[in-house]
Amino acid sequence: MIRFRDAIVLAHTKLRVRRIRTGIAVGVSGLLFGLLLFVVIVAQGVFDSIDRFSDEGLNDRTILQVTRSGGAGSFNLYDERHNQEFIAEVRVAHDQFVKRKQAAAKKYDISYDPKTEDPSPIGIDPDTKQPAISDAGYSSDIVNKAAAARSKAEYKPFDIKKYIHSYKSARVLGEFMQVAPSDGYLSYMKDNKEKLETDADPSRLNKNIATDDSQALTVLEGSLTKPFISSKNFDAKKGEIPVVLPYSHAEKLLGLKKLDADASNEQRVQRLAEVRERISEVKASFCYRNEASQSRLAEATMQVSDIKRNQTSKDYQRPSVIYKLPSENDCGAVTITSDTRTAAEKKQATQRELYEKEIGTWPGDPQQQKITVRGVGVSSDFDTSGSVWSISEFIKSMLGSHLGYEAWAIPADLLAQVPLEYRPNAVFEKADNLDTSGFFMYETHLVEFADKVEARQLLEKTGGIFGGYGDDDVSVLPFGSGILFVDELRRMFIEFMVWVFVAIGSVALIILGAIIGRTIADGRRESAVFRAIGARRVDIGVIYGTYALLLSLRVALFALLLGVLGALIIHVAYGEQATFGAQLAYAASDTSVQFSLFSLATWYIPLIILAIVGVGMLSSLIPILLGARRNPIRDMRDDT
Amino acid sequence: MEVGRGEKENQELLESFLSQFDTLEDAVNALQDYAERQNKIRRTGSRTLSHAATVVDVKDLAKSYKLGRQKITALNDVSTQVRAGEFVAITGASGSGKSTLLQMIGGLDRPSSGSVVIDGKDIAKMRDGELSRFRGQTIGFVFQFFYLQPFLRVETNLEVPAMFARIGRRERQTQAKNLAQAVAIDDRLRHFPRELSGGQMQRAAIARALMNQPKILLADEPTGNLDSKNGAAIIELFEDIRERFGTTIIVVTHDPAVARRADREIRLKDGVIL
Repeated sequence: MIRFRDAIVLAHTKLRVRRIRTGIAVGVSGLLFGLLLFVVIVAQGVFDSIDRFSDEGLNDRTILQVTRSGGAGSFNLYDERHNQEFIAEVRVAHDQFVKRKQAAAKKYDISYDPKTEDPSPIGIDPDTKQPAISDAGYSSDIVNKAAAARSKAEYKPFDIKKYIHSYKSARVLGEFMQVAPSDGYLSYMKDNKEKLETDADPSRLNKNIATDDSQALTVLEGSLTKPFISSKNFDAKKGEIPVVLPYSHAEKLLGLKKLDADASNEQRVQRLAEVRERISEVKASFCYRNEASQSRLAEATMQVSDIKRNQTSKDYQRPSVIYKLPSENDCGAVTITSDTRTAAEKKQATQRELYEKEIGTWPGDPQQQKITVRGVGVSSDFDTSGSVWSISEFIKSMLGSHLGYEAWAIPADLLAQVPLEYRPNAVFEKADNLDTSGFFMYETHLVEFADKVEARQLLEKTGGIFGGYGDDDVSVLPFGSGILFVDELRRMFIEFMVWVFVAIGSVALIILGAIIGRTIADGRRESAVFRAIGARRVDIGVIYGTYALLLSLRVALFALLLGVLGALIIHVAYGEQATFGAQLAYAASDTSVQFSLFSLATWYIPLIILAIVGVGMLSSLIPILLGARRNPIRDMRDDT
Repeated sequence: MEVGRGEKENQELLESFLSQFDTLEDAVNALQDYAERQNKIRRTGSRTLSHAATVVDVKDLAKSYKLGRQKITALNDVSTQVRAGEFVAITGASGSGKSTLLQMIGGLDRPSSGSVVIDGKDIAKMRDGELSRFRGQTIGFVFQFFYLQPFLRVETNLEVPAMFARIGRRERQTQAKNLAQAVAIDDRLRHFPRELSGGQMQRAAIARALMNQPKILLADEPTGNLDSKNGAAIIELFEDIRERFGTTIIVVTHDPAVARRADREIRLKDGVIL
């Protein structure tokens, strides 16, 4: 058989005939494969960069947020409004309450007429003509208490361990606990000030709503917050609660003006570094008030308002007890500045307090405490000035590592070091899952998986990689990072690229097959001459096989050139933006890490090159076999 | 049947010979050259034809093929022998079977019946690979249209048969240079075929045919694409080659001038030897 080196010499001449046709074939095939290589190089750059950033945030961990929706399987007041057994229970409770009030009123000399009692929470349903809980009944304390008691009796706690027991690599990290006082409110003190306006609506001080004015606080296991902590000098003895804040919140609290939309990437990354470095300067306050303190404050603010409004009115009679509002910076107690009540009036007030305590309507003693939080770390957020469609925004939204939307996360391990007097149980102890109407609230647990496959299985059970609701009112969502999404993306990408390759390969097979077939047909006279001067069939096959190889290598080289060039252009154009996006997405502690949109470090590139050559060789197979069988005499005769 | 030359025929040949020259002096010079060459051959004894071995032995050779429904008989019961160092011309009208006979001798085509023994080996019985190897080592081909590879330099064109014979690069380069010198194109080795004249191209093709030092050189209308001057030069080259290398030369030709220069002429008509 002819030596390969000599076959190359002879095969190379085939590339020089019909140059335009060969050029088009190489161009079209190269363009198709080039597109494929371009996507692979860019995607590999992205995946490599994600791996590089995996040390940041929670990207090296697979955590799912497993939530059972509130009230699952428990007593539902609305559904049970016609439940005659429950109605009978409410009726008895109502009658007993009235009797208890009568007795207590008599005991403490309080005037009480049962006729003035609120209407019975039980009415007649106009449709069924049967007793049912009336509309007013839904807001009745007696009805709600009875419903809550039933709910509690029927409530089966969400057994998270049982729920995940079939996933061997899963472990429960703990409950995702939002700081929610069981009695009263925890309100954010914007600019270290408490809202004391008379129109202050207690619901606006809602403990859980994250708005510009109030933040949700979440206690998270220490290992979850650790990657985000940049402050090294947190001193728990100072009595401040440590928090990890979203980047934009920290920036605002540091008094830094938000960067302009056209700020350079360098400026943005510098800003991120500055915020991380200065995070310990972030200080904010919350005010905790129990129900009694809250209603006393509401009463006091109304009184102050009344007095102010009636300053000039001669008919206005000032209340006998005058309150003084606390300083707006203190979250202090409402104090009494003057008490002009008579001894009888004071006695009556004492009697009423005892009466209310006896019938269970006394709100308790006012309690309030200022809670100071101190920044210890920065997490990523979703609030940026960039366009939603920019590269950086895409990376941030898909790949970011965060600790819950807009939440301020308290590291549980650092919190435990704070002296108890600064972290009152009323605020930080886990509250009952019941809400005020007797409905159970959501129960959320964080579960970590050592095996990503298992995590994906659980996600898919509840609706796919982005999570969703499954059976038993349980929803599952990825927490902390988009690592599962990235893995899924990687898997889908490979699957997709295989199909793209098959499609492109098929087209290339036809194109290259046609050109090689044509070249062999055109070269039949030359093959005949070669046969005459000593070539065997196998030599002819080797020459054309080598020709197919050279042609395929040209296609591969052209494709590689296009792919590399295209990816480089994309990298130069968007690499910096992507780096910025990634650094913000991961709230990177190391701002020197680059996010590249270009990487050749993948087996897929040589694999694709080999596949291109394989396609070329495959396409040459049939023409070569047919060509080798030809009769050289006939070919010589046909041509002359 | 092989034929000798009659008187009348010789006269015609003489006239034809003389018509190639402008002056009688030129013709005499040419004849003197010829006589000198013949003397040289006799002196060196390179042509002792009567005692030379048979290198080509064609026996009862027939070749027929189908053209649509029609059966064409290209050769019918042809038998002939060629001795080593002989210069034989195969002549005949178009379609007489002369090229087919040449191809059969060259092992490019298989006979329908009969045998072709080259250098003692029946090539009709050889398998394709063996035949190709044998052909490459024993037979050299020269074509009317030269068939040089246009994208290879002359030197590489010359080396092609040696490539198929797996001869080392250095050895074949030396051989190519020697052959180029022998056919007087050594100054054209670095050129591409398109840069050569027709005569030079045919010289290159002859050099290529001699690359593997074949015993037999088969030429199919080697002067058919050349003017008379270049044609004559090529025939001289054949004679020279035979003289130098003792190569057996079998030429298919229409050209009576070529046939006259041969030692012997085999005439074919309708697939049979006259």
